[in-house]
Amino acid sequence: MNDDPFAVLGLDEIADDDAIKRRYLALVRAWPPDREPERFQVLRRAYEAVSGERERLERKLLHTSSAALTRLKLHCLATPGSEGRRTSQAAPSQAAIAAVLLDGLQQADR
Amino acid sequence: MNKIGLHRPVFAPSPDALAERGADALRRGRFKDATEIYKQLIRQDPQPEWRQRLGDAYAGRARALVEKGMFKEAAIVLENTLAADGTIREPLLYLSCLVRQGQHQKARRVALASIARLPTPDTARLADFAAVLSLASPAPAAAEVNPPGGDPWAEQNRAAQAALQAWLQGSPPDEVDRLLGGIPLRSPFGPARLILKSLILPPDAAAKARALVAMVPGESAFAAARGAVEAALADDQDLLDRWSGLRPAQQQFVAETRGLRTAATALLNHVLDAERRGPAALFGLLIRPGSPLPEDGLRTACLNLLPAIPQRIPEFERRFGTLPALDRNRTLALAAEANSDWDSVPHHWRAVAKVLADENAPQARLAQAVVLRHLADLALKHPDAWDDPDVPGRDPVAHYLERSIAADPEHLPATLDLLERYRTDDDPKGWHRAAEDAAQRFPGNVAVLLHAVNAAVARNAYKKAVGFARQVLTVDPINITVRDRMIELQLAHARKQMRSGRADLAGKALGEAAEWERSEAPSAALRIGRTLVAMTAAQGSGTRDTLRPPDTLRTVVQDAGNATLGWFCVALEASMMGWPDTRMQPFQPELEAAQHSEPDRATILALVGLLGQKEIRDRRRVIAPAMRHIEPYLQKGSRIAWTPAEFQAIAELLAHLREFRALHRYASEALRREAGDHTARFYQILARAEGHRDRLTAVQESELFTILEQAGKRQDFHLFNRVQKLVLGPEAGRALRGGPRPGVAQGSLSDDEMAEMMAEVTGNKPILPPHEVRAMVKELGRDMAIELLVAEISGSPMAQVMSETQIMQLCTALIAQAMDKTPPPARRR
Repeated sequence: MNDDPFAVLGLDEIADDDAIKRRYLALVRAWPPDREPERFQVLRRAYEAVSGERERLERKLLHTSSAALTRLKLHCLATPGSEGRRTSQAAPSQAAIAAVLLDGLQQADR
Repeated sequence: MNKIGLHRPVFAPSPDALAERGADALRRGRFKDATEIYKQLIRQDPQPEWRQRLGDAYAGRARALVEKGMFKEAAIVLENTLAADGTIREPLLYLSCLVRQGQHQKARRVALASIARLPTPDTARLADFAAVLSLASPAPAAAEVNPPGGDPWAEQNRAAQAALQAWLQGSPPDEVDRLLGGIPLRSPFGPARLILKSLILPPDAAAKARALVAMVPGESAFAAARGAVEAALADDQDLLDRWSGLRPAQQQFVAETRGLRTAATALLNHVLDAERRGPAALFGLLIRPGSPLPEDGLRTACLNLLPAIPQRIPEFERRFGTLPALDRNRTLALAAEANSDWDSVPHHWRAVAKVLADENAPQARLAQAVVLRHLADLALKHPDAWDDPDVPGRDPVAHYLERSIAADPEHLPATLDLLERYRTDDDPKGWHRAAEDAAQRFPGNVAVLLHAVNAAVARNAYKKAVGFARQVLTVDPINITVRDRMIELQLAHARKQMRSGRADLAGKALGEAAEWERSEAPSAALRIGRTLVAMTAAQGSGTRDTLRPPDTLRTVVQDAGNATLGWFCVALEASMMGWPDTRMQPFQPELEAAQHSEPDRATILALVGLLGQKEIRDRRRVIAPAMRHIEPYLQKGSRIAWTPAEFQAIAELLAHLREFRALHRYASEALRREAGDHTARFYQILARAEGHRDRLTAVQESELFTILEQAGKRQDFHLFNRVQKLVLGPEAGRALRGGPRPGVAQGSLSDDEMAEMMAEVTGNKPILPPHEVRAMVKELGRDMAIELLVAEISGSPMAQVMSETQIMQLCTALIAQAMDKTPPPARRR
């Protein structure tokens, strides 16, 4: 997993305290510590790394950030028209199903 | 290869010999040879055993071919074992070969035919394979082959196929769910039910969907489908984390279920591939014109790659425009740090700080402070490489910390770092100034206030120290550290007054000290001090005391809990207050009892703590009367099995107090306990030479060099420094863990080193003749004489190489030596 706190939290480097806190709480709701303890730790570390203005400045000035690159990658994975919201899964083609099942067979017999 | 002569029946070996050779070939993994031998044996005598062995040989050969990736050949070899009932040796291996050749229908038929004839767990595995094959490559209805007793299989297969087709054709989730109900969870099609169910759940039931799909066993042939579905259900960030771990078929599945654009996922794969190849490759990909990705994101991503590839700044500027000074210098500074180019690092970071300072906005000030703190940190970590024209002759760490605090006064860690820096660098003036400022900015912070107390004490600003101490107690009313410190200070002041014959002022000082005492934790030292002062005052006034002070003193010692320690405290305090020996006569029995009592670890360690107080340990001659009682007791303690740390603390104190007889005893006892103890051996030699290098024999010197070398190898820096100081003299450089610190070589000496330096200076280069010093003390008093000397030296060239504290210590040592009329130490060889 990416260790850039902005990338972990899925935030722009210009996010302020309020935006960071809101995003962190939303992520903790999605990945509660009792169910996802490891993921929660990662989120917590990321939050602590950027939760103050001085910390954010330190992160921005003294470290290189992969957050912009992560955003570019996420741009590639964005579902057109969804605007970041999750939608119901569309059914794939029969060929895609068959390919993934047969791929599983090849992986399983190893 | 050793071919067998199969075409020469005249010389054909006997069946037994052939069987033996066949078994040997099987054992050695020569399956091709084994196959030929058993074929020949079967031709001669078709025994079931030879057929079994022949099957083993075919299976072994097939496995060897599969390992080489020759699946087609392996399948042909295995088909030699096909039985009349349709079963085959190693059906899982055979299935694998067929799947890899794309013969899915045939693979499914083989799987179904083999299911009933295999023992578990292979049956379950085959059924798992068969279920996947049935869904991936369904047979035409007419050609369906069911396994023996296969009605349940056929029903489950039909239900799974129907549910899958319903989902693929976009039927409502309820309809798909109803069809899934026909698939028992424990059947081979159970994983398909879990997977399809998770896919038809609404987006707000993502957690449930994830939980369902997680129930598909990881070792199942459905595991790849599980991985694909988990990725399809993930949020964007999670999907990105998983994406590079997905196989192409899984990526395709995810792309189709999430409606991702093929060009976008292909671009993502290019980006991930370039990222794996390094920053240069990634930069090369991102900077290409015509990318469908957002321009500002591309610029920021490229900017963040530049510290790893600074040579590509011109390319960046051609594409995105000129880099601002801040970004350029930051990039170059980070690049220089990555390459350990310490000549360039400070230059670029200073340029960044300057740009930020010029901006003069609140956030720019904070950013400037961040950069300055970083510069301080770098100067601390890389002192050898640090050459800073901005701060000639100054400690760059303190310089940058000060500037960072000016830019961001509310940053507490930097403030504490600066205070600690001044404290350890023996800069009381800077310490005091910084602590006063900090106390105003952080009036409620105990750590800052304690610095302010100690810095004020170091500058002899007693009233300020009291003020800060009171401030500490308003924040933390219990704070034992500050209470003890203030009592210690008042005691020191009272001792001074007593030595000057002012028992009244001493009594007043100790009365004030009582304010710092907690009623539930009385200070034995303070009570002893007050009683001694009261006794002096009573005697001085000529009044006959009603309280019988000697008895009061006995009560005080008794109340302290440890009579031995208590009476040694009395002796020490009396010496420090300048009591003549005769006045201690009434307590001689108690002192002798203490002296002859059985030593114990706690009392000796407490005594070491007491004697180790700077004010006491630096007045060796003043405490000499008390030491006459304490030293025999300490000597007896040498028999205790001290830990290395305890031994070192005791030995160092004894060496400092020049109690060489006791030190020798401690070292000898430690060597008796452990003959190879280098530390003990060093102190034994030190004690024999009484701390003088010129009294070392050639053999001892040689042995010390060996100890020095071994201490260096073990990274025992304390022993290394200590031995080095004895063998080479105090001017020898100190070894510091983690490398030297700036300023250490020039000015930062320990108290021990300072004491030795004083002896050297006063021994070899007298600043004033002793008789003149004595005359000055007689005329002006000791304290005034010291001040006068300090003033004289401060105006001399010597002041350029010494701090104020060092000058003060030098003058104190000069006066003490002149008054004691002690001969200077012998010159070094």
